[in-house]
Amino acid sequence: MTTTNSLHCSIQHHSLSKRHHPLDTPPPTPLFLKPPTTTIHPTNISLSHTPSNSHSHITFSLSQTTTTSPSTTLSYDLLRHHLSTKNFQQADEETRRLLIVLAGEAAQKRGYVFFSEVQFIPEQDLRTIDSLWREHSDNKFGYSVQKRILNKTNGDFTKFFIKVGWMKKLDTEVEQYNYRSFPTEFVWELNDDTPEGHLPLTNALRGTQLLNNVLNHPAFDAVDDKEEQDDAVTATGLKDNSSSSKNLTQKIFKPDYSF
Amino acid sequence: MASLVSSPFTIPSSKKLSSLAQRHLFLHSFLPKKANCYGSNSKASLRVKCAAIGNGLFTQTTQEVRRIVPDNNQNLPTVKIVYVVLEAQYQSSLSAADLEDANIFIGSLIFVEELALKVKAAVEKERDRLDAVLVFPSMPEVMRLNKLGSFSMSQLGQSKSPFFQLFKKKKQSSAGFADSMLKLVRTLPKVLKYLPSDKAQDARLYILSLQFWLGGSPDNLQNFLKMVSGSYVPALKGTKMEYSEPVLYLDTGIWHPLAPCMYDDVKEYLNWYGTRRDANENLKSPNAPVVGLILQRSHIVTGDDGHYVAVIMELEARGAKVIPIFAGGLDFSGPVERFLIDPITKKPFVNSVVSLTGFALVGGPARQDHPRAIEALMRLDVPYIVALPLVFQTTEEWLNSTLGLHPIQVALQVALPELDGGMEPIVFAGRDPKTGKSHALHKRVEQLCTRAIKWGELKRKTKEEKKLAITVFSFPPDKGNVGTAAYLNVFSSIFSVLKDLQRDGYNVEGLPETSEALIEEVIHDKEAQFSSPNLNVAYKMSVREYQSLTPYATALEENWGKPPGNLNSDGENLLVGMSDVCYPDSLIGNIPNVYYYAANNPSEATIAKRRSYANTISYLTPPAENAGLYKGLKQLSELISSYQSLKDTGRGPQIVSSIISTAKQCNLDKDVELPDEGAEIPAKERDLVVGKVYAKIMEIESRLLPCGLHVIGEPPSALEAVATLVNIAALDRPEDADRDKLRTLFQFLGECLKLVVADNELGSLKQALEGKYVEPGPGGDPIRNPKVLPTGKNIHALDPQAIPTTAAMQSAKVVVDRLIERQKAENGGKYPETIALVLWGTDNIKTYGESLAQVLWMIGVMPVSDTFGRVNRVEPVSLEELGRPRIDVVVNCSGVFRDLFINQMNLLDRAVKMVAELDEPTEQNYVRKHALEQAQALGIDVREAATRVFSNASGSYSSNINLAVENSSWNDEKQLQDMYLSRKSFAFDCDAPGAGMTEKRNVFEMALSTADATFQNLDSSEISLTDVSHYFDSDPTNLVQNLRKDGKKPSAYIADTTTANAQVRTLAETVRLDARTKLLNPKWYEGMLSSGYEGVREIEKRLTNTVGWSATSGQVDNWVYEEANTTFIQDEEMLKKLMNTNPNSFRKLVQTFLEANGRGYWETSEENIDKLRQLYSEVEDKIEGIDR
Repeated sequence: MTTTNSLHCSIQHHSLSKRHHPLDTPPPTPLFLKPPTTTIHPTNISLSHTPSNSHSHITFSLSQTTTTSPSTTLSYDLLRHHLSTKNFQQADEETRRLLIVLAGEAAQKRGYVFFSEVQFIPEQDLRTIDSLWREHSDNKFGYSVQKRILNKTNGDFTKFFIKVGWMKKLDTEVEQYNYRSFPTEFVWELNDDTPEGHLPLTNALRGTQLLNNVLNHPAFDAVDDKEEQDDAVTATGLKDNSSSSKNLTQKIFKPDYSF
Repeated sequence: MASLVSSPFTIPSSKKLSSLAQRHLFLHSFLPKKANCYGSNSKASLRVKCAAIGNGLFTQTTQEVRRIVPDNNQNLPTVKIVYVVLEAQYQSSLSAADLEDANIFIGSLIFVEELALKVKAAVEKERDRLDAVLVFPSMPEVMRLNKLGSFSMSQLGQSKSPFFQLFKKKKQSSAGFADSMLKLVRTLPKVLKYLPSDKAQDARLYILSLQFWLGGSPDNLQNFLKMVSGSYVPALKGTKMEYSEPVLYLDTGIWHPLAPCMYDDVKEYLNWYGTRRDANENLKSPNAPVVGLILQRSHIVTGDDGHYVAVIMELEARGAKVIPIFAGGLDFSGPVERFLIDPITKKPFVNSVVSLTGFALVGGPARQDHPRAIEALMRLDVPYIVALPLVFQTTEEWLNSTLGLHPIQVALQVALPELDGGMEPIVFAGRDPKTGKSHALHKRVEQLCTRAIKWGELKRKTKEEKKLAITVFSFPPDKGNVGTAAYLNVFSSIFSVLKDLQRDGYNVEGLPETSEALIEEVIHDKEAQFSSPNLNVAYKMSVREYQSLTPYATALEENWGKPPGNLNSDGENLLVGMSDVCYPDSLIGNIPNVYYYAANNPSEATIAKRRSYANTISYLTPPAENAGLYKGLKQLSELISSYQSLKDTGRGPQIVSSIISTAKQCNLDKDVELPDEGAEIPAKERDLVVGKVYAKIMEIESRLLPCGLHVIGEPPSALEAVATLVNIAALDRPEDADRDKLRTLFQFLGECLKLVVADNELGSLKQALEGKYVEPGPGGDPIRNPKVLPTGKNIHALDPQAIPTTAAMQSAKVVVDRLIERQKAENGGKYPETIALVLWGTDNIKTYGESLAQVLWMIGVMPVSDTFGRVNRVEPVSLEELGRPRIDVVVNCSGVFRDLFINQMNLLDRAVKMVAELDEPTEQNYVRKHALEQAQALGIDVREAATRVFSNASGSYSSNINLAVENSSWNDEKQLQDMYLSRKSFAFDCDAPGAGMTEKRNVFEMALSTADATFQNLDSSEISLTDVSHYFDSDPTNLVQNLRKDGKKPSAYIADTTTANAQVRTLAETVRLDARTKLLNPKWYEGMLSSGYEGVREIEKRLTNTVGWSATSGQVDNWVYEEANTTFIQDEEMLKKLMNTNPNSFRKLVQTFLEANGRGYWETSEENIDKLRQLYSEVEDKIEGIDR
């Protein structure tokens, strides 16, 4: 007996079962479990998809920029498209969708990835997603970026969440943090003060094991090996980073800060 | 209350799925619960509105978040649905205004009477107009609101129809009510047969509704709304609304997110588990720990399972197998036995069990059946953890709240599971404000899972493999205080435990021959001063190492300062007093914690249980014996008996004269009115005088006191067991010689005897260490409540909503009446206008709320319990019935009481405010009288002025006067009183319960200034006035005197409910009685000294606490100090013994004598003081190691 399949629209989770709304439909109210971000939504769990909105009839070819062919039919074009147009919110959605598709049929039915399914995702696919994110974010976004941060926090996810800006400090006597609300409290732009590793989002709704397994996937073993080298890489990009962290502290109390 | 805002809203039909998915049946259907969206495929679209209302019970809920403001561009017919499910804040805030233009009301799981009445009041007004009212398992009051066409439940409870009979049996076992609902669904056809045919259709739809609701899935809920709207909303009449039949799911079974189906059979599940392609070697290993999980079916079928999945992933990622079982009803005991125990071997399939429901195993939020739960868990026999998801608060509300977890949830999901023996109330899931769905709290999930695995490993590891750390208390940190525990001989107990573990096969190396040698090994030269280099230091830890081992080190700095600090430190390193194979950190982390706790202290044990996740194992307090008589008191008793036989022989006057002079020597003149010595006394009066002295002597002699200290694993001797039985027999039993009654009594005592000697303290420890279930039992006074026995139980408190009981109310009336009579007798017949009193956690647990009931009776109200026996309401008693004015009160709740009984503080505050608002003459209602005066003086309204329920700020305990006294760190009494006012002036306000404790010092002072009397309860013989520092710490007698305009000292009373016949004595009388029966009583101090080291400390503590009473109340007579000095200092032999056995405590004793004199509480000869000074420097030298 199956029970949960159709239900799995969580606010912070990508759902495969949802349909798209026409563009003129106002976003659903927060009562809906689905994030009120509309425009492009994948239709179903098929591996290629047709964006169903007005600017939809773009067909994406399977042009492979990556070296090896990962899962034969999977297309990263939509992700690339969103990233290249700096539509990070959609890119984020698409990334989670891809991850679910990569995790296999059961994950697609379920609507989320179980941590132990991550081992079956081909290295190349994860690397492709990661490199697309890095490429379009000046190396600020991407799983490997997150992995480096996680390593720096010695695997402490609370510290990690605070670092990448997924948790916010509460205005309480004792220092406390709470999860940011999806999607309104996240940053969907690549600004100077956007925290490093902020995207793509893997939420903690079901704990940290999924993210832990993604980041510790062999695809990102290189991060460990090249920790120093990477540090050097970040160092070259440090102009941005250092100024961004400065900005972060300066701007963190700005009232219109979009976290 | 905010008004409703609505706008039409069209949604594509598939969207309903998600909107409905969050409305699920049991607890987790969270906040929005207000309205629902509904539409059908282009035929009709229904408008829905969502109400946003404030004043959530105990929360500052912002319902704005959940408001639905739908559009209706196509101008379609709309249906407004208002619904409330379990969450108190929404039940509490529902009003008729919300329902004004609603079509359908849906309610479920409304089990708190106060809230049920609110919901009822709101819905009742609109019931006739509403198109349909559907209420699923809830209290009968709300169930009666049900109506669907001609079907109505308004006759519920009165009708003879078998349909209603099903609801009537509320007394049936366990989760009866909700389970009978389920049964109802299953027996649908049978039930329908009995219904008149014209009603059958509506009744059928009701039962279909119930099936949809319990089915819980989005499809079911969607069809449910289609069915109800299509059938009953007039605007939709004529539109054909198609709906599918309810899809029914397994009621109970095994679920795993990866499994292709739910399983009805554990073997099938395990087979599937074995075939999992994703599982790694660790997980498939036969040695992998197995953790059973208990889940709510509703969370699964509605897809609100993120937090469950998180726990399953975390456990599996850490190499533990899981068996997640679920049930749809409220009784999980059956599924636990069915799925987690091998039917053939009777062995558990699991190593530990974690309930993620937060509920008691049987009964959920309704009526619990703890014995049945315990029975099932004993059969299962593995550690049983009950973690909880946030229910009444969103994550942020919880984090922001100074109260912490919502009080109703504390009662339902922390206190009740404890009665099943549940441990570790870890909040593992939060709530999203927007969706109301549960989400994992990742750190807490980690903590929960590692702990569950660690407990489970205890079941798998061999005894030799297990490592056990023993920690002892040392506070304040001083060598004289190492190993403090109430009524426990700590080192002998450790020795006894280690011996037993060694016998049992544990690896115990280097255990000395005797317990004395063990003390020596642990504190290394116990006579040496604390910071001496002789300290037994096993390891020196660098600050750096400490920081790396303690991830929360920075958080500790706020209170403890920077490491290494100056305690247990040599300035550079932290000194660790355990051996190097022990865990270097005594803080609990992931380590299973087993904690011996005195059986008579359930309130503190409960704190240990909740804060340090302890499996608390009770130990027996030493048996109470009669205090007996000694010295002059003994002579007096002999004189009285000779008077009895010789009074008519002409020697009478002479004996009476001796009696009087001896009584005076014994300082009885303050307790008994004695004629002048040598005065002629007429024969008649002689009898009277002797009679009074005799009564006093008897009171002292028969006073119960625990002698000596308990040693774990040592059952009471025959003599001690008999003493306990005598005490049990004496309690609450009038003297009568009816043979039958005696036979019953002796049968009962026979049962008690078995329990008294059936010592299970070591046994339970071993069970816990072997990863077995430890049977839970109430904490309390073994004499009052033999269920406390045999000791060795996992101590729990009680259902905080169950008090005060009717019996407690009865006893309370007697005490209050006696108190008032006594006060009147000593104040020219005047009633006290205000009584300032104290509520203790332990006291109220042991007596089932007697002192709480006393407050209610003083102000003249009665508690009213609901269907489930929970006390959530009060009603005023009429002045005629009361027969006296309503007495005003100032209630000082201990911090522990505040933590355990915030609901009762709410109840009390409501009671006080209700009384203040009664339209009664002020001379008959002092609460009103004072509140009116205070309202005027402070320029506030009467309700606010009627603030009488105070405690510490959240998270803070005691007035700290006790610390000041113990450390002699205070200048004058004024300073102590300021401490009291600044720490105890936090009020609870039932009108703003979410605000927690708010400082209201003005009202506090004004209320205290009207007090004519102060009052406290003594509930058990083991803990009397000078045994602990708590009682004087909370005494406001001198403070009230300072605050009163007339400067008059209030009377101070102590009620003694330790014996059959409750007594109200003055504080001074009680202090004298305490001194005579304890500090000055050879039976007591010799008993203490036989325990050696710890005994000296016990004696010193009594004297220090006596000084505390001098400081707060001034009710200690000079002779008490004088006699104490005679006993402990002037007696050379005694002095030597004290000094040699525990020089640190002896030094403190000498210091306390000097302090009593210096502060003017004790006048004595210069000679005495000189001797004390000389002794002080002598013992200092001894401690410093000079001249040894």
